[in-house]
Amino acid sequence: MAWNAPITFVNGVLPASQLNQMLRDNMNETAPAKAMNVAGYFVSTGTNAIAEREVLNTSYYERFGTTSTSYVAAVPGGIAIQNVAHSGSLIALWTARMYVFSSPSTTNTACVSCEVTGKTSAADSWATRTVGGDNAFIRGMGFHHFTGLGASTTDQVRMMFRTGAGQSNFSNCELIVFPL
Amino acid sequence: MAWTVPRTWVPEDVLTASVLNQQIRDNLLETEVAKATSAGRLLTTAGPNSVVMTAPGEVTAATAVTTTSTTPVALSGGPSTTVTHNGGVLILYGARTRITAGTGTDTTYVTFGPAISGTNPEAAKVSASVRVAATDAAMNRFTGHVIHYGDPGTDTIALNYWVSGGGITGEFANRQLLVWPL
Repeated sequence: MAWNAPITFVNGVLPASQLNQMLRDNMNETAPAKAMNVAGYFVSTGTNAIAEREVLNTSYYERFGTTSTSYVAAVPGGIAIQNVAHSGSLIALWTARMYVFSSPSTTNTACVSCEVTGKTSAADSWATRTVGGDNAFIRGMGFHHFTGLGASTTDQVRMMFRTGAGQSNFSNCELIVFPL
Repeated sequence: MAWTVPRTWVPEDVLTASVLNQQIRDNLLETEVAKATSAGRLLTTAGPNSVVMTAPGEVTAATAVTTTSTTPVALSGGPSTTVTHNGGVLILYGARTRITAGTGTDTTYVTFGPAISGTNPEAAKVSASVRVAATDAAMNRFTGHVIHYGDPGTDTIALNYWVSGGGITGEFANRQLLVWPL
């Protein structure tokens, strides 16, 4: 079903078809009719159309490292959320502890970014990064509003990691996604 | 239009066009689905029996900029954005930053945070900002967040930047400002 623009009623016979269209069908397009979960929220998916969304999250607390100077998933399967349903955009927040394990310097950083796999690649422009090479595992946080994705129910949002040089290590990773 | 409390129907009620228009047409037009105009907006409340769809947005400025100002100033590229809200705005902000001239000490640092003008003006302030004393050429990224409450209206949020003094220059790059109207 879809939303029908509410009509202006006039005095006279009120046919069932009008009530079904105006009351039944339109009520079925509202938020209470579409609510399926606890702790959800509603977004617009287009003109006179809404959908329920949920805040999604995943975490990975183990220590791992990478020597890649371009962004990689770094752990098997990646730290990712699959099957994210959205109407073309989403907000991602991520955090991790990190340090430069080898080749620490004032110009060598451990970097943590985020991608929508196959649609928007991880980038330095929204990556959290630190030069910390003291094994202190400094925590950083990043965020990005991914737009222009096209509506989907199968997108994957994934944390991505790289080092400036040598090896960088990471741990206590968390990823939160607000689909829009 | 505005929401009308749904009436309680009784037997033998006469269904007049005016009652149906108020109870069905006008109230349907106050629902969230009626107010949805484009994808990617959030349902928020604007008061009793009133909902609107609001759109989060992010603005960025990649270019590196510097300042020696000891009071908060806007720098080239901002970023800044203007939003209409129902009395609250969640602000996330971030930048890569460092002390690029001078030495970071216990009392020398660079700072950045949001300044607000419009319905609920508020200058950039220490309690809602990020302060950094690092000098690393790689420029670590730092982020902060704040919720700003006030009256419903329209506000312009702009990142401001300043340094502590002591002969230092602050540098900022890959600046981000994500604003979520509530």
